[in-house]
Amino acid sequence: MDILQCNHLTKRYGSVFEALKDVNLTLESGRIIGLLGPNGSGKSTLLKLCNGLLQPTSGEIRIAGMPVGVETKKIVSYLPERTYLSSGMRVRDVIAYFKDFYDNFNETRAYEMLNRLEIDPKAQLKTLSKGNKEKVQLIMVMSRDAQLYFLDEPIAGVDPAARDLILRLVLGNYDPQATIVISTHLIADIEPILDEFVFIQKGSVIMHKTMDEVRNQGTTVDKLFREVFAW
Amino acid sequence: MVGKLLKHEFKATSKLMLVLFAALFGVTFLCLALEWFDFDSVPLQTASGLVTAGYVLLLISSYFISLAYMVVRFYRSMLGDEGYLTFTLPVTTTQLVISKLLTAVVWLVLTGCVMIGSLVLLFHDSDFLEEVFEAFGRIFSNSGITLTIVIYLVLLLVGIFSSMLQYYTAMAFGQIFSSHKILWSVIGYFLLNIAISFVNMFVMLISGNFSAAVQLDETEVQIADMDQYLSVLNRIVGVQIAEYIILSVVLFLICRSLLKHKLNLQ
Repeated sequence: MDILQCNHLTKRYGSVFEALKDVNLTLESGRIIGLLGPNGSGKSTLLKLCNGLLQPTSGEIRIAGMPVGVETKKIVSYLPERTYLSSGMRVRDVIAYFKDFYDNFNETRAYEMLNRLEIDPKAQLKTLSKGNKEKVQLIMVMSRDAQLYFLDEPIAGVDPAARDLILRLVLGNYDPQATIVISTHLIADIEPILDEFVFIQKGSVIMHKTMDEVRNQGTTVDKLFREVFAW
Repeated sequence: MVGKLLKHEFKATSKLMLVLFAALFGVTFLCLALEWFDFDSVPLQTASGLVTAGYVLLLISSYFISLAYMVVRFYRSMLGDEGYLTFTLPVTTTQLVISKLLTAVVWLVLTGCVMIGSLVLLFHDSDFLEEVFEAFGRIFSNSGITLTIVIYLVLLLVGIFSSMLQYYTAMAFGQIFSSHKILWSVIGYFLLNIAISFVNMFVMLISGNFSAAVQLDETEVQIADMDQYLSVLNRIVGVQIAEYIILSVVLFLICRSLLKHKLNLQ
């Protein structure tokens, strides 16, 4: 089943700059997909459009066959590349907030993950380091039993030692029927968990392959990325 | 969902608002305590004067602090980084705007009540308060004036709704632009102000409020007939209430439409 369809999607900022150009992309359920590209290639713009934070200039997005709206927000879990939690909140208040609004939020799982990452639920967000704030956000996002996860740079702000643990948490806490789209430039770190990847450059999708295809070519995504995006 | 949004909005805003109310009551009690002492030294008299001046300043600025906080809160939670969470909640834009609006209006009305409460506390055993209560008693003995006061209170409430919506609409307009969003919001606010002034003038002319106001002036000079005076006054305020209600609905629809169809969280 197709979980995400982008049909002739274009996003223009102002009258000149095209962040996305006529993007056609279809993603299936039950896959972990890397959305890869250099800075400014349009990855975050695509994820924001899928979450209704930006409106397309033309084209359409369908999630599980529905246009972006209240119904898709119930089944999509989104981690933006910035801190979106109010710094005055305590971690447990954030959990209560998510529990109130998302029927598919698993409170027990959230507390378990906090415990594993040694984050005190009573701590105020403003007292946490940037990396720990990002971990709290990721825990909230992954504690939902969503059908589609969009993770925008989920491991960029944490140290390399914590990355493995976070990726294990991501893998260990999602339903294999669900789809995860991970946008990042830390390709080597996420390559082992990917089922397929999408290369995006200057607002256009230039490659969409499965990991089997890459392995059959005797190469890696990391190597392909360096070849395709070489200066 | 509106109930849940209201619950979390009140929770998020209560900390600062309760601190403001506590500060106002705290300074009020300090002023009351200072009245009991008879200061004969200059430094203590100066300190007492400073506390009184601080009280007056806090009292006057309370409403503006609340208003500014509600405007900033809307911007940060809807159009700042927190907007990334707000707009990915499974709720409609209508529900979001309604929850922000109701919370802001409740806090602003409460601020007004706390200000009045503070003044009543401060003057509770003075002749001034007694005179005020006597004056109110005399006024309320006339049922016509009671109605006028109720109409004025409704006007005040509707005015708070429409002024908040004017701020919200201006910010929803400003966020459309790729850069200088706050500057565009300010420009949007002034453009709305100009448009609303024209609407006010137009409504005054076509509703007969303008000629009624002139008539009211003449009546006031003659003080001929209190009932006729109040009846004209009620009519003028009634038209203003109707205008503010229509204006609020229009501003709400524009704000909602901009946030729904032109949301631009870059």
